[in-house]
Amino acid sequence: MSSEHLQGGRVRGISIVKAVVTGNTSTYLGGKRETDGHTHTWTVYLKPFKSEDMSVYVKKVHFKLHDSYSQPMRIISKPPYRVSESGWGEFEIMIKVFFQDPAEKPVTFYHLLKLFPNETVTVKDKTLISEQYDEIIFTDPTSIMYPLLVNARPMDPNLSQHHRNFDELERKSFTSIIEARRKIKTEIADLSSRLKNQREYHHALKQEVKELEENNKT
Amino acid sequence: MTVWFQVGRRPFSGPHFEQARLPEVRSWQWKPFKNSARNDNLSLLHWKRCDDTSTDYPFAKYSVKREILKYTDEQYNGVLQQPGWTRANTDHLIDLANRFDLRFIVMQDRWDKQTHGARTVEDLKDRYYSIQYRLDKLRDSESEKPKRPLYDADHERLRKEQLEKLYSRTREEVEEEEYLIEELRKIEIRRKEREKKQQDLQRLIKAADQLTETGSSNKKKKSTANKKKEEETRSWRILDKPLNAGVSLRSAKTKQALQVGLKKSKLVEQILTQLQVGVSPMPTEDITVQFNELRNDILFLLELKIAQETLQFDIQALKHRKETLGDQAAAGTDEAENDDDMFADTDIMGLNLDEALVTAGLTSSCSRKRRAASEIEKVTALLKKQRKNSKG
Repeated sequence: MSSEHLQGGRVRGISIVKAVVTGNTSTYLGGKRETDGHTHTWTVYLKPFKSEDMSVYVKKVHFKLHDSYSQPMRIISKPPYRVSESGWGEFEIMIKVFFQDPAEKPVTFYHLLKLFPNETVTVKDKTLISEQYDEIIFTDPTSIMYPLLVNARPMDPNLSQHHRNFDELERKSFTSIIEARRKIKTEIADLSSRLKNQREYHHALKQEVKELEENNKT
Repeated sequence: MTVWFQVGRRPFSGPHFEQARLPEVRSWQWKPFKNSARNDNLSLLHWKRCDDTSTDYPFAKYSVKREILKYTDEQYNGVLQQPGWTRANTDHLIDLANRFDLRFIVMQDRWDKQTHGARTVEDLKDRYYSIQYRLDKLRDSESEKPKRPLYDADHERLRKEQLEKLYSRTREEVEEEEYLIEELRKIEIRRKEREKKQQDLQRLIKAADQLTETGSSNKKKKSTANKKKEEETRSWRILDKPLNAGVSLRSAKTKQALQVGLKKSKLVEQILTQLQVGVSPMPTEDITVQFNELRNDILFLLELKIAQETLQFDIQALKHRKETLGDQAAAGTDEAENDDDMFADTDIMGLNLDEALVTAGLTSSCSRKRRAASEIEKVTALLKKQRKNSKG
């Protein structure tokens, strides 16, 4: 604790970003299962964007399923952080990540379990995939967390192969936002110049009305 | 209680009352008295305290006798002659004033119409006070100003007439006037709002110029000074405070609420969807920054649009005013040339911003505004009429 960075057990002025992916895969059973009426098997998961052993800094992950499941709270304390189940409906799963240092508050993701295809999901070999990218930002991490975060061991790079092409998505998102900003700025410039004209017209009109009013009086 | 006081005995003999000593009761007498304000020497009886030594009736002093004007023949012929009033008329007036102690209402009632012609209360007052004024002037030195102001008979007549009209209004007329006053109040409020918005206009245009300048040169290297300026000129922005120590999600930044109302936020979301950006982009650092800037830009555009709508409304109202002032030919041509380019609706990638704003309840549509403008005219005209009626 002698370093000047360390105040109140935190390393000041440092932000560490860990990119993660939350998602689920699902497979159609081909019809209603006779025993319970379930139609799909699915797996919901949290994994690092770039393969590493998250357990170095993650203590455990809570997957909170729909209340209709027996034991809706599933606690996973070792990677891979995932829950496999079967069901018939889509619902929001709360994924709460706890860290090795309890001084760092847990973060919560909300993942909508997808079973049915639409434009937000990809289908590969009859398996439906719905994935979201996010980043966990550790601002001024605690002195306990800091070494764990920077020293997390890389793992088999094959494991960081994602179903969704995030590089492409990033490129697309960025371009579309830049393009949108350009459009909006054009609109602003356009509207602003129209506004200037209107203002001049307004001034002129006001003057005219004033003169007319005075003429009418006399 | 009263009995107890008068008889001076205690009704209870309980321990609490034993100690309470009562004062001696004062004695009163049934006595005759005379009222000095009367001149008929009438004697009546009343209760009077024995220790009361006053001789006169205590209420006699309230009978005040006004001194009624007197004039000599010389004075009358010199300064008091007035067309419409003969000496006999005037004498009758003074006689009535003496008899009824200047109570003009009674005097008017007892006025001898047959001999002296019909007169109103105002006529009587006018004559009486003008005599008073003239006599005062005659008595006082010329340099001195007349002590009493002249009685303004015309003003009094008008005042009574107005009161009469106010009193005899029908329920419908009262309601209409209340409605008109309420409408006028609303119009005033709206006008004040518009004036305030006018002031904001300058600020907005300045901000727009800065934004488009910095935006076209380089996207990311906005000088901090400029950015600061921009933030000052805007009335809103996405809160971008440095992160507190601890863990957070990048995506939370794109979900951060805008510092504006719910309606506007919804509209921003709608435009984001129309722009095919969506409300939750992939949250990398660059994208998050750009996304939030985009949201700010959209908000700014909305602000501009609302300002423009207001201005447009003002222009419509002015045009209407101009038309009613009788310059119809000129107004007609103006409308034709300006409506096309200046008042064209703003489209953003197929999203009709005007409609969206109307749906969101942030502005009212053009046609509604035109109607509102003509409403204003109507109401002002009605008010004018009303005023004229009450005067005329």
